[in-house]
Amino acid sequence: MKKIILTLLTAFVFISSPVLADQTEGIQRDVVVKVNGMVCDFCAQSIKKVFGKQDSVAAVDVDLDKGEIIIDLKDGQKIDHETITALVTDAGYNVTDIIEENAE
Amino acid sequence: MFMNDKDTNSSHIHYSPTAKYSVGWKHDYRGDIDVNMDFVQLNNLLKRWNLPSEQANFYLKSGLGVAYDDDNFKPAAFTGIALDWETRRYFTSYENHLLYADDIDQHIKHKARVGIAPYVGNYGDLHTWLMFQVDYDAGAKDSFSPTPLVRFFKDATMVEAGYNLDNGILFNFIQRF
Repeated sequence: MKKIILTLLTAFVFISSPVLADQTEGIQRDVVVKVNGMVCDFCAQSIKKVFGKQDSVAAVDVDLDKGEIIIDLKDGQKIDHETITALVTDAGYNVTDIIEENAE
Repeated sequence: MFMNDKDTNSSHIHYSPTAKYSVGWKHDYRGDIDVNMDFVQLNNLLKRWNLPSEQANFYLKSGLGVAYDDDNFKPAAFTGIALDWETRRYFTSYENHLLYADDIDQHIKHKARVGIAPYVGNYGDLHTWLMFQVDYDAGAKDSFSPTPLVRFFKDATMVEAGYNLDNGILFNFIQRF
């Protein structure tokens, strides 16, 4: 039992190493979505997954301190507010505001 | 996920088609009575409250399956509710577990936790929680069983380790995909 625990703890340290950390410096803030209910990394992971599947999205980041989803759109692409609200709601959270910071 | 304490070793794998429910397979080995149990488990998120930097949830968890040892093979079922409330700094939860496995085992168990984060990390950081868990089993010799534990949480991986004051190690591992 102790060997199993030690093995899993070692695996956890490896999994959480900086090499595998999310590299999101320099993400462009095209759209910022203010969200209620995001309190942990599991919350953020589900949000990133649903937005990452959108064809118009180049990158997505989450700021738990500010309760924000930051969306970087591909060149020439847009994403409408109804789609954003539906994606966040389907993921289990509530949208309180959507701000287009680099609207074209 | 793998959950282990002084009485039970559990493996649980499940899939969430939506944020409202998940379905999966759960295996329990009850070391206290040397019994295995396998279930199809359904978790339903009955209600969620989303507020600025806090969230509360109310779940119903149920399973249908079998319980078996060397001599017996019996149908089994369980159900229970789970409630939690958390902010970036504080955590509290309660859940119960009602099991019926014919003459192999029947029980009603309760579990409650409180926790505090010594520091508040942002997304992608290593999060640490200090928690205290109390288990109550009216049918057990020591009805109340306290366990201090520490939780480490990063991205989609969570590990919990604690020591039950009745000489049992608690170790839980959750990986989300």
